[in-house]
Amino acid sequence: MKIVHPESLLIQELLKESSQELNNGSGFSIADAKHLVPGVKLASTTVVAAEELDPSQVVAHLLESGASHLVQRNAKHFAQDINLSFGMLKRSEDYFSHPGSFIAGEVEQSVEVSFSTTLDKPGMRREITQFLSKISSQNVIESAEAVVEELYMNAMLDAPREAAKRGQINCSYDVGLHSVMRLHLAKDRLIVSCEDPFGSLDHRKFLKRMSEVYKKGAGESINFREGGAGLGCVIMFEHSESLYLGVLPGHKTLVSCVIPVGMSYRQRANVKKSIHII
Amino acid sequence: MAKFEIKVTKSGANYKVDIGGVVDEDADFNPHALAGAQNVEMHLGQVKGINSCGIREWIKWVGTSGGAKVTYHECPKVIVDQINMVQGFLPTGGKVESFYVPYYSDEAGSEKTVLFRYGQEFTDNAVNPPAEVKDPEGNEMEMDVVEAKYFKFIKK
Repeated sequence: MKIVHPESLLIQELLKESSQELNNGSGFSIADAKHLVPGVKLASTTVVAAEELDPSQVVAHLLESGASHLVQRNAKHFAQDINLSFGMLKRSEDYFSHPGSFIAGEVEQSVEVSFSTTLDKPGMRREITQFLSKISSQNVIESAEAVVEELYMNAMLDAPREAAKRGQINCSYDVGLHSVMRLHLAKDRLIVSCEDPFGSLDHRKFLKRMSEVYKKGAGESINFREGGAGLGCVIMFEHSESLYLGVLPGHKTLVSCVIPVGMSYRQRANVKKSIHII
Repeated sequence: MAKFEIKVTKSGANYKVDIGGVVDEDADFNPHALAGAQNVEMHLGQVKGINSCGIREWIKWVGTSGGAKVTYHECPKVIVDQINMVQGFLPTGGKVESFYVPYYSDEAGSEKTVLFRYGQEFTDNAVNPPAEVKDPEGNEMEMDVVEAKYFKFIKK
């Protein structure tokens, strides 16, 4: 593993405490957000480590640096999440085939609901509400429902439209395609994932849109024209501890949001956020 | 996650609006334009959620109130979050008369919401929370919000 910023105290501490856990790092690089130089691009095989960045700064650093993963230090998962990022650089197919267990390790319970028309939404909501009733925390339920709403709209509205703009043959649910919403409950995390059959998500455009909403404010950024309102990206991120944007162009998009479980709203507000682009 | 519902009761130029369920892309505010109202009282205690398309439709709809005096009542956290995050969600000159604040017990992990009312638990630029909040088992609870963020709309 190459260390881009050997002077970084954050990286030094990480290596001192957890070098054994970073077994996926061989062949990749790790940088410290604090030492990034504006305008200097990193290799896409670099994982950026950070602490104390607010959500808009996470987005800004990824856009500016060109890196694929920015992982912030939180109490429990820092080394594991850094190693997971290296794992995704090494074998992204693991994320696409089983995102829940790939992200969280052991998954206790899961639910999976397919949808392809707006008529499917009430049934999807019912199944998800039933699944979420196993969680006693209202703050987790509220976040999960908010994330499901935005993932659903992205899959139903934005994804096929983007696919059509690109001239993809698979650009409509009319030809028998469907999307899948999955929720996986692990010990201290809930992973909400949505897979669509279009593979039309543009990471850079997604991050740029987030950046615009953070800079201008949600009210000034709303899209009042056709399609989505353009706020879903930020809404999902605000409800999550980390966001995973996985795309197999022309084939599949798999977006996952990780929501911490077992915390109050105030404790969750202190959790620093991460983004992974696969 | 209940379906969107809206009911507007008119008494001359005074409109009382009750909204419930999830305000989403299917929420149709068109039959309920607020033009002609002088006072619009919105009761939001039954709103369960709002997505980004719902936020957009809401802003377009409250914009039809023109110069009416608009008040929001019993705002759940999902609505307070939008008031704080999205300019225009509460129209210019609009006022929050009451809203819910989440409370949490670190000891028991229990959650509940407490209604804060204008003139009692908050005023135009101050928050006066109840002296003590307990869960049904008697565990003390604390306000479970980042105060600078959650009460931002009050201190504007």
